[in-house]
Amino acid sequence: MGMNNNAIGYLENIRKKQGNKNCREVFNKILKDSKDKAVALINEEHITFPCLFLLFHDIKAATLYPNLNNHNRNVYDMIQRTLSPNRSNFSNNDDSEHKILKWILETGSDEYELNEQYEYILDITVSVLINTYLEKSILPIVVEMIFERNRTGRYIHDLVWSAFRANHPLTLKMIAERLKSANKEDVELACRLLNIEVINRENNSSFYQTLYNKYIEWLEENSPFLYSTGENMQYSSTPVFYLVDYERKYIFKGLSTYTKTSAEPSDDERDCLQAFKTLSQEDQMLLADYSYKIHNRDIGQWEELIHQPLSEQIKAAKENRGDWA
Amino acid sequence: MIILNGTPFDIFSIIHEYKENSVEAISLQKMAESQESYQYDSLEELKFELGLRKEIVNAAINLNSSAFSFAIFHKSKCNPLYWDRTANGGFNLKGGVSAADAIQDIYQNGHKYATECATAMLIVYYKALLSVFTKNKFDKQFPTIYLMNWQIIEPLLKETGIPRRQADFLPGDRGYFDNPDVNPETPELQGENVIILLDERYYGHGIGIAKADTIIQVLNSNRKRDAQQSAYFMNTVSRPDFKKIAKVYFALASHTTALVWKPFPTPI
Repeated sequence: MGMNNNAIGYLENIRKKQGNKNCREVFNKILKDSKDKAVALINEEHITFPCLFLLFHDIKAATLYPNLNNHNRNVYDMIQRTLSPNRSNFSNNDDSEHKILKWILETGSDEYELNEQYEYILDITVSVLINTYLEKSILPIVVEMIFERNRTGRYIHDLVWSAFRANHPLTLKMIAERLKSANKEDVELACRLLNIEVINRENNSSFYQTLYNKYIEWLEENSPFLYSTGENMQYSSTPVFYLVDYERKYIFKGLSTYTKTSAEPSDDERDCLQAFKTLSQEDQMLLADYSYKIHNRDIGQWEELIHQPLSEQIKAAKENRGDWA
Repeated sequence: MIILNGTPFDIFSIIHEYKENSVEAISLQKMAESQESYQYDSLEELKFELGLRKEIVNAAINLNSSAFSFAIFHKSKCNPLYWDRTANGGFNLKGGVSAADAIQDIYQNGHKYATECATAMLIVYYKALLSVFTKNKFDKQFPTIYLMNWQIIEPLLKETGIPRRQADFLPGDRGYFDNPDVNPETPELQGENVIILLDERYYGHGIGIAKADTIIQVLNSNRKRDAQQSAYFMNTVSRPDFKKIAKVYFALASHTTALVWKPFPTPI
């Protein structure tokens, strides 16, 4: 057997082609014949997380831990620790831990045949990578996992929570891509996660392309002013993950952090903002949108606008409402 | 203020019907003293809400006393005699099984069940409805039940999944303690759903019956290392649409079939 010559490991090759059950059987047969060969297969460079997870109990039963290479020992420890009822925390802020967690996700995210313990480890991996290591590069993988699991009715809430905790526009953009999916479940989930209420749904691709275009247009305009509400699927059946901070939008002071932090207005702007805060929510929205568009068109005109009496600003926003539609 | 048929209602005409400091009496007093207008079409409708609130609180207290335990969705469990466990960790009522018996079984054989806090809230609501409707009417009204936090809710209980700002927090309302700096390794403790009880106490599944400071303490002890923010009670609550449920109840009680609710959607 060619153990080390393939880009895909020997055991992983069997797992992919013949399934998890056969992979375990082959491994245990090799283990019975030669412990060294079995260890060599596990320590192959191209071993994957699903493969290690699948063989975890066999490795444990055969007490192969001392023979594992450093990488695999670390992975073994993480599986053990995560599945333990009284588990200890990860070390946090540790470069090797960060790398291993990323490896777990990168080699294991597209495996959907293993059990719920496996899914649980991936959920925790994603959560730690995003919340502790502030790892944004995994967002495409996480969004893919959310939609893939959703198609088969599997658990997604913690993945969704983590994806939104990243507070990154990429999450919203990638979810929006699913609005164009041919899969009905994808579209429904995307609408739910983006808080898009579709009225008079049409069953054709141009309808969803238009929906997508409108959302992206909205996102590009509002992304600098979005802030996380902290809502999640444990709290609400209709969580609103982000809201627009209309005060910031009105004075054109965006943020990239998706957090609710008070703007630092100039003295002039402070007065305008105080008056703005007295408006109804509907008028705040109208005026902030108008202010944003005027600012984009002509800063001088915007300066004039926000120094006008508030009633004049609202009047102008109402009069010009149609022009921007 | 309570408005009955468009007229302000004086609670003194009925408050003697309820024990002092009972769920009904406290709810009545809070509603009467509120800036909010609580509007009812009939006295029966008001009394129905009070009765259902009492049963929600009872159902929460009794669930806490049962052997029903906490587990994350990946490790949830249920009695297969009554429920099918779904791929996402939810519980789906088995075909041909009495919904009333299945809900009752959670209370009687709690050791066979484990799930997260939000699903426990739904169980509380169903148990309260069972107490009010009684077995026959409950079975008729709920031929299917799916228990999995707030994501797919029976239309009649839809509002329980939608927290809103309310003028008052009343016994039987569902609240939420948020834990913004939760330890990333325990995302299940990102918050705690609770049923508001009496005497400033709450029932939260997994934590038990406690005052706010205890719940906050438990959540705070499960935060990330460099945590900055404390857990806190969010200033929103959700509550069933009592008037909608009352209409269904009265229709069932009078054997009419005028009100037919959409069938419950097929679980994922």
